[in-house]
Amino acid sequence: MSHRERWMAWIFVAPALLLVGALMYYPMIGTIIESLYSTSFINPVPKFQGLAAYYKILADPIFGQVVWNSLIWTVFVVALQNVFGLLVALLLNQQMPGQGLMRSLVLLPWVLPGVVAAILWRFMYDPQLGLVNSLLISLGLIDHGTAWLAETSTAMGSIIMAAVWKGFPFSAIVYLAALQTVDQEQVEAAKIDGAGATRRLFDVVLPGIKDVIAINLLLTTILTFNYFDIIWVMTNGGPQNATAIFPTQIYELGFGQFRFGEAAVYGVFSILVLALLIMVYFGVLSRGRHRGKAS
Amino acid sequence: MILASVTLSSVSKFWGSFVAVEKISLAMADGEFIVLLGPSGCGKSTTMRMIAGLDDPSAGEIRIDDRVVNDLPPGKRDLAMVFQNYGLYPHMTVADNIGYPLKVAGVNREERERQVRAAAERVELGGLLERKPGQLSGGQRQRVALGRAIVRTPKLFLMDEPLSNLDAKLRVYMRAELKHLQRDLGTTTIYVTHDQVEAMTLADRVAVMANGKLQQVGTPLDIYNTPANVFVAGFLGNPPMNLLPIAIADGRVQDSELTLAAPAGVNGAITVGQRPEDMRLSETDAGNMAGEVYTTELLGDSTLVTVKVGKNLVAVKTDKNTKVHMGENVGIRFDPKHLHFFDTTSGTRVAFDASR
Ligand SMILES: Nc1ncnc2c1ncn2[C@@H]1O[C@H](COP(=O)(O)OP(=O)(O)OP(=O)(O)O)[C@@H](O)[C@H]1O
Ligand SMILES: [Mg+2]
Repeated sequence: MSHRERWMAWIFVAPALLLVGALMYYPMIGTIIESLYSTSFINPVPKFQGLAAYYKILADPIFGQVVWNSLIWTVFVVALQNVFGLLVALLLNQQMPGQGLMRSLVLLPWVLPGVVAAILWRFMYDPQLGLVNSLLISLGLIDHGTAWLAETSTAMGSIIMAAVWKGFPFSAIVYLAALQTVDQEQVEAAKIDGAGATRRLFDVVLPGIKDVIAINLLLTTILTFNYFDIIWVMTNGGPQNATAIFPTQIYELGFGQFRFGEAAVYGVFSILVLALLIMVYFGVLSRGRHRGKAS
Repeated sequence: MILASVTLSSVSKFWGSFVAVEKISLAMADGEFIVLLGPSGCGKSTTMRMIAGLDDPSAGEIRIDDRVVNDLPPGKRDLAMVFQNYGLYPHMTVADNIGYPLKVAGVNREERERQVRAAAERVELGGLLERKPGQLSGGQRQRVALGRAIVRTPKLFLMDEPLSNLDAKLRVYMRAELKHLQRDLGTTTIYVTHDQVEAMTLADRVAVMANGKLQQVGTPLDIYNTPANVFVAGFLGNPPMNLLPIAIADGRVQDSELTLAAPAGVNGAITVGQRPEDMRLSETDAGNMAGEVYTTELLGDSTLVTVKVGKNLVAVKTDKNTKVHMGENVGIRFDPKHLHFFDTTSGTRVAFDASR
């Protein structure tokens, strides 16, 4: 590019850069600055306090719990969503009658607004009226209703189930699209070579879509780590912080208790985690692109 | 040697109401090289896929040796297939690709490596075992597919247009290689192509198909010399046989452009055929018909002269030094020993007494 052309290029991308800067980096940097100041309801004028809020939070056992919860939540929701999504995609990829209808029905949980899904699941988990309890009682697995969302031992598992239900269609559709690009000649070659369905899945089909799997794992990880609505509506992060993850904790501290500085510290930590994930995402993306060129 | 005979009895395939393959019956002997030849869409691949077990026949019976295999999955039919795009596993090395059928069969690693090396040597891939398919040329990929096919010495080879992705020169070379390999291994082979030169050069017997139906089965010479119907006559040969519709009544050709002694027993609406190489140019009044030169094409070893006779174009293969010009009037003489007669309505060959 000549000097002049480079100038032109900058002029053309400048509006986009400004927009991204204003919409994304300004709040991000704002958060970092915020975390260095003490602002509260009684003391609305920000006062610089350095890393004091960081020390305070790191010393607080709740921080450890939020990290642990976020980890459990993210790992289980992502794993179950992907496994379940892949299984459903494999099923939908079969030639069968009513396939079109099935494909649209599967999408239903995903198109439902998060808050609606959360309320639906709160009903299902209701100790007296809930479907979950009546089902388990009629199956003889439990003998009286459990308050699934009110017990520290069951709350996390319960919201994980709800989030998997809400999110698996996304993975299913992504994987279905990927499965349809798998070269049928390879699958048929494996059939002729004597490979059964399971072998073909692991030897031909999954290697054929492994880039899509990697990308989808990362995308769902980022989305899950940032999840807010379902948890907030179902448990508020409780009981006793049992389901508090970064986004709910930030909301609780900032808008529930007006401890903006501390909320911002949680924000900074979650920005770090997300930045890391996004770096991995682009790494995988460019590796996939390289391989695409090589073959 | 383990060889297989394959028998199709009245095999059909319908896609909904569309008939892709209609009542094909065909018996292939042990060690035979059979080529399914026909234009695009005539059902060659479908027929082969039914033999492989990749598609289920809608009707009829397929036997390998004496066993009905209709309900046997592909992996249990003891056959290998080479696909048009080779169907190689892109994430596996050449060695793993070739060794895959053995791995599935549970052959241990050492034995597998030995057999893979032997197969790779056979298809001249020795130095490339650690590469991935993406790092190979088309011809090399083709060899990997062949290697994977021969590695477990199957009873039957199926090949669906395996050479069509290669450039012209490599295709001729691989054609010879393939023929040599097949003769060497002696494995029964079914080969699908729409290229008549491939069919002629490779086949012990050719099965010509059109519109889902079998037209003729025979040695390459058989089908070239005595085509069973107008379709086969017009499909084979380059350029194909000249076909002229005429009417014969009372032993006389009722066509003003053509003077020809009609053989005994040939009557009615008839299509007369003769190959371009059997025809000769002559003086206008000395031939069986006459017309105006339409084009001349030098083919190298010969010259192809196309003559417009009435509404028809007739191709005549002549000596390469023939000098005729566009628009010139010429006569065409038939070789009476190489005439073909077909019933125009049904298209089938009409037998006649050539001794007259
Ligand atoms: N899965 C399918 N569904 C519907 N029709 C099909 C299907 N597979 C093949 N056909 C039809 O059956 C006919 C025969 O197809 P086939 O693939 O056997 O042709 P072919 O002789 O191999 O042609 P080509 O030389 O182009 O490969 C075609 O008209 C094709 O459109
Ligand atoms: Mg085909």
